[in-house]
Amino acid sequence: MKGLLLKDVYLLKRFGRIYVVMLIAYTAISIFTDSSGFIMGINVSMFSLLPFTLISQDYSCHWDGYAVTTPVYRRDIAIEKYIVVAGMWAIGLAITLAVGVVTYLINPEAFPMEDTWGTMVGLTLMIFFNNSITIPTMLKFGPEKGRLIMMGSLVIPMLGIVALVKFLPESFGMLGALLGAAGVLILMFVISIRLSVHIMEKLDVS
Amino acid sequence: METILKVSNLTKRFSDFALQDVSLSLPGGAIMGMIGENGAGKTTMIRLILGLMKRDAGEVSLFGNPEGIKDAGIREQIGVVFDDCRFHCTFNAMEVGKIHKNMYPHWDGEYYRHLCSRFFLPEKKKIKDYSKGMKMKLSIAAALSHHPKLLLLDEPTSGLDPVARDDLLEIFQDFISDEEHSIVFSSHITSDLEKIADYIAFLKKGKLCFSLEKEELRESFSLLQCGEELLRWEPLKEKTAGIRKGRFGCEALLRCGAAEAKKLLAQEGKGGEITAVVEIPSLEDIMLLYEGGLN
Repeated sequence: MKGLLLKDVYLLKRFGRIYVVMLIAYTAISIFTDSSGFIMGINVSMFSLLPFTLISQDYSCHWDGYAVTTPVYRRDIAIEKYIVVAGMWAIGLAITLAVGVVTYLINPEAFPMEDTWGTMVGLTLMIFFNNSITIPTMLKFGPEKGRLIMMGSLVIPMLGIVALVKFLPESFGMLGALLGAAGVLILMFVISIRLSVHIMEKLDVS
Repeated sequence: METILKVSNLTKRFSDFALQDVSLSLPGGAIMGMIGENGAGKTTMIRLILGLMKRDAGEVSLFGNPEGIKDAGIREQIGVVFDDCRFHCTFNAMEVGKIHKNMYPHWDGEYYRHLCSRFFLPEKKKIKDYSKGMKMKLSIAAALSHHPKLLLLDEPTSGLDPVARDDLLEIFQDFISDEEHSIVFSSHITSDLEKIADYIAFLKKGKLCFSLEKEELRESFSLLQCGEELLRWEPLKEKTAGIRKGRFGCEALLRCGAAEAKKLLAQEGKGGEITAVVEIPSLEDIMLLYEGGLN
């Protein structure tokens, strides 16, 4: 497992440099335009898509086919991908919060903390929802079909949010809705892990 | 001598191809060359031994363990080199070493660095900037550095220049210098196997034609160059494994050693024919002629 994680850390190091440049550029744009949209958008898209990119990289050099011939277990190859997702989520939240606090201190009216909390919720939703669907799909069908399914699956959380706002009983409250969504996400994530382990253990790899 | 690899009745069916009922075994301290044209089933065979795909029937036993590759302890004892480099092209040799150190309990970092230096692999150069030969050597360095007992190599010399190929063959010969180490080496470059293999397994259209010791192979086949007339002679017809017709005569692969073939021709007074020449066939002759062009 440590070897697999290290492999992804090395891969992420390359993306990390690009991300830092983009983060600085988008933060500057946000500050000059008094709008938090750019910076929050880049955080959500970068962190929710990175695990997908890592799997695509593994696929393109047939890494998994090599890894299963080493003492690493097939089960661990699948689980490691979810550990990366959880890691991305934690780093994404920390950066979003840090940037949110800095921009709030610069201009509290243009960058209210509510935007940061919203982005953190959106990031959580996107990361866990998308990856719960795309990881097993990519393992089973490869990145091409995985990408299509991921694009399709983006509609579902959007519809979920719309449905939540429109049909949520007043008595339920925002907190109740968030807790309900968190429960659904955790359940989806756990089912996805089990499914990916099952797929990986049965999969013919190249 | 311990049997390192035993394959029994291995079968895998695809919609357009099937590997059928393959059985072979490999003792310690030996190199088995798996030959066959493209699509003969060599890679399928290696993938089945490695458990990369599910088999439809048969058994694969490694180091006497019928669990084969499923056992992580067994996976520690094997090194694998595929025909392409399986490491991410943005990594360098140093990073590859560190990743492997965390995957193999008995990883020997010092030996890995020694191999990288022997192969002139710059530790900090990205893999994408390596030549094909360098990538293959890196794969081999990674496969050897946990001191495996069995190396499984899928066409490791294809696409390499003769100097790089010769260098690799020398490494493989060093590896099996004691009786504990073995190699299974698939290739369609028969000259490589001619140099280093102790056993030859020949696959054709998914079937194992034979698996023999190289010396036994020389005694089992001979190459007859003669006119077409002679091949119609019944005693020869019975022994013919394949025929190739050329502009100036025919070549026939006979299922008997050169000495036996010469004896047969002499007994029947056919050896005196100017055009009949009996030779020991090369692996390439066997690969080209076996079950080819039979009338």
